[in-house]
Amino acid sequence: MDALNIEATTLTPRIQLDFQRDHLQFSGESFPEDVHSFYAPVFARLQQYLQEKSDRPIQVDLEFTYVNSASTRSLQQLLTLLDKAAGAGRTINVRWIVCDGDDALTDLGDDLLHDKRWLRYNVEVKTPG
Amino acid sequence: MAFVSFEVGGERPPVTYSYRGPITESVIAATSQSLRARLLEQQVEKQLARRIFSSFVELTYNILHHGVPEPSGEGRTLHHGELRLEERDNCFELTATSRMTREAASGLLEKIAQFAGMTRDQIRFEYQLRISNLQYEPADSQRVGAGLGLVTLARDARGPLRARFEDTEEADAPTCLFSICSTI
Repeated sequence: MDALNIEATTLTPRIQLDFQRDHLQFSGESFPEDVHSFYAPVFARLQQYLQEKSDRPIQVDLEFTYVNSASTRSLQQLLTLLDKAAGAGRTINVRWIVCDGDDALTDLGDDLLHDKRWLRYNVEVKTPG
Repeated sequence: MAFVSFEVGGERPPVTYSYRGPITESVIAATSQSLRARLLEQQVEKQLARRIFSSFVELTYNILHHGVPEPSGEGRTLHHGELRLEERDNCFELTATSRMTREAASGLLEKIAQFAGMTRDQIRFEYQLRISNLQYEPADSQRVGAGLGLVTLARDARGPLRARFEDTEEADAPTCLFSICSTI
C-alpha cells in the first residue's frame, strides 16, 4: 500500500503514514477550520491499512505541539480506530512525544490514552538541545 | 498590523495585541502567528503564552461557528470580530467580540454560567469526561467543533469566564454584540 505523506501547514500537522514499514507519524500543530475534511481521507486510508491481515507490529508516533478543541475530537477518533485494531489482534505501540515542560500536551496525551484498552503507549519527554 | 500600547488615566490597561476585522481560516492562521511572535517579543512565560494562544484560537473559532456573517462587498458575507489582549495586574485579559443572534448569545451565556460555579478540579474533570465521551461519537460525525471549546477556555482561565451581550443601535435587530472575556 502506498505511503501517505502530507506536509505541515500553519494550521495542520505533518502526516507520514509509511504502511510498508508499519510506521505512522503525526507531528506539529492542528487547528484547521474544517477538521473533518482534513482528517477524513487520512482515516479512510488508515482504516484500509488496518483491515489488511498482518501480524507485524505498528509503531505510531504522535508529536503534536498544539491541538485545538475541534482537532482533539479527531485525535480521539484516530486513537479509537487504533485501539479497535489492537483489540482485534494487531500489536500497536503509541509514542506520545512532548517537549519538556509542556504540561498541556502531556495532559492531553494522558486524557486521550489512559482509557484505551488494547493500545500500548508511553509518553516520551523531549528535552531541548 | 499596528500594536497599540496605551494607558488613559490609569483606567485602560496596555494592549498587548488587538485585531478587528474579518475572521476567516487564513486570518486565524496569520493572527495566531503574529500573536505568538508578540508574546515571544514580550517574553511572556511559556506556559502562560501557550494558554493565551490556545484561548485566542478557541475564541476566534467561536466567532466563526456562532457569529453572524455580515456583508463584505462583492456579494460576499464574512464573519467579523474583535480580539483584544490586555495586560493587567500580572495577568492577561483576552476579550473577543462579535455579532451573534440573540438566541446563540443566550445559549453561550448559559453554558458559560455553568462553568462559573465550578472549581478548577471540577472543570478539569468535565474536560476529561467530554474528551473520553468523544470516542463514542459516530466515526463519520461531521459536527462542527467538539463541544470542548468553552470548557477548554474555562480550563485555561484563572477565574470564571465573563460574557455579556449588548443591543446594537437598532432596537428590534435580531442580532447583538456578544463579548467573552477570559483572564489568563
